[in-house]
Amino acid sequence: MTQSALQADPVSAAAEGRSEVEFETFVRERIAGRAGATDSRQCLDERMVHELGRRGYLGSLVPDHQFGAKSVDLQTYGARLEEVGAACAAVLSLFTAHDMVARTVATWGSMEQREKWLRAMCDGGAIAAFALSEASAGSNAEQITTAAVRTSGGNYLLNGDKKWITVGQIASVLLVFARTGDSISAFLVERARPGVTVSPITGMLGFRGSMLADVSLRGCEVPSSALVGGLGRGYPYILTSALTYGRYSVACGAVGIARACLYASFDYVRRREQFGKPIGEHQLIQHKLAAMATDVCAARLLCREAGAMLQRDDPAAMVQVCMAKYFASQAAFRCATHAVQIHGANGCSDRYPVERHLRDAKILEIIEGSTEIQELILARYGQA
Amino acid sequence: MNEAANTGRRVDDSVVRQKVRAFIMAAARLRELNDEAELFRRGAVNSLLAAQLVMFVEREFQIRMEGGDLKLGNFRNVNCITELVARKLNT
Repeated sequence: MTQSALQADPVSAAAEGRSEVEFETFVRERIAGRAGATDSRQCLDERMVHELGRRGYLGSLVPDHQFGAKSVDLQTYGARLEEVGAACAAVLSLFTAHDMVARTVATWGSMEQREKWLRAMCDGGAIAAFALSEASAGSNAEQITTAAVRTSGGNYLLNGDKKWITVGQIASVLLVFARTGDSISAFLVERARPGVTVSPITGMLGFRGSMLADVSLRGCEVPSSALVGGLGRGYPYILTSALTYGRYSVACGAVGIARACLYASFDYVRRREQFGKPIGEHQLIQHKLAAMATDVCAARLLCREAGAMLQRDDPAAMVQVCMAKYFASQAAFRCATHAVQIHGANGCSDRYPVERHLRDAKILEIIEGSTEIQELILARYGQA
Repeated sequence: MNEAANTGRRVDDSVVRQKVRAFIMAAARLRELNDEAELFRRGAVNSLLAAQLVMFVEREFQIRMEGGDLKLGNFRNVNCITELVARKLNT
């Protein structure tokens, strides 16, 4: 088994004639090299974020090149996020959160909202965050308590506390889910609006550079034009649609993390010698490499299939995305666990990237619907 | 036969029913589906199917669901969805 055999992927973006060389070069030169520092400093490089926007890499899920978007198809997007995932989990989380909001605005937003936000989201002038989770509402989104009450003037008054908001520290606009009577609605809320307070969260296990934040809304008044898709559309309609893209992003990024673990391990087992030969020649190490290589390829194929189904609007695409996320996130954790084991004490040191990959891979099994939530969906699917 | 007052579009109920049924069967990979069969049980599949159904009927029949239209009860079986689409087309 060789690394080059894995790289000769017959369904790779390059084999399909798409030139992603520029993107991959950018990831290698501007993201991968800083991943360790992003993790230890617990913040993204703002210049790099601006450059992502300037180069048109943000908002690429906004369809048909609307509002300046450099749109790409879902499979190309998935291949990109595999590269990003392999390089830096924190940047993966930026793409995930920002692009799912941009796609939501493009799909469900009014013309006024699209004109106001999409161009800025695509050129990086406005970073977007997805504000759903609360201290007591994670997997069960229906449990949120943040409320939006209609004022006599026709505006909405928002009160509540959002938690674990990815890129919340740098976002200039948030897609906030709030109760509107007996339904749940979604609002686009500018961070600069009075009543919005953002508090950084640090000390997380993984994805430490994701710039998580608590977001407090206290008497935050927004116009009715901030309502996305109409009253009561937030749950399940907008949420489920947005999460499908988020899950796809995470799944593709998970393939990247799994791949990074595999490649790091291949490199290590050639150099590290024990009992008079490279450890790659020991069968118990080969067993792990075989399992990792199979996991990477299987996860990638599930993601490619999910991307193709999303692209052609296949009715079963949402469930396929859940399956891809379910498998790929666990595969990444398995690969990271094997990689750390192969590296021994070195794998427990921050001088080797597999230590970071292991911490990041665990997070993949929790975000955008935990492994258990995906199991619920997959087990019940087809029983309607 | 339904005719939208503002557009003059005509969509036969049986066509609506057939398209809705076909979509659900494809989404859930069902081999057969009774028009009275309850689509939603408690759990995560509810929200997946509901979101897909709303996006599908809006796109397919060029209608806009809003307010009370979005209650899950309107999507509990093929017959209910057909009635909702017919009502929207006649609005």
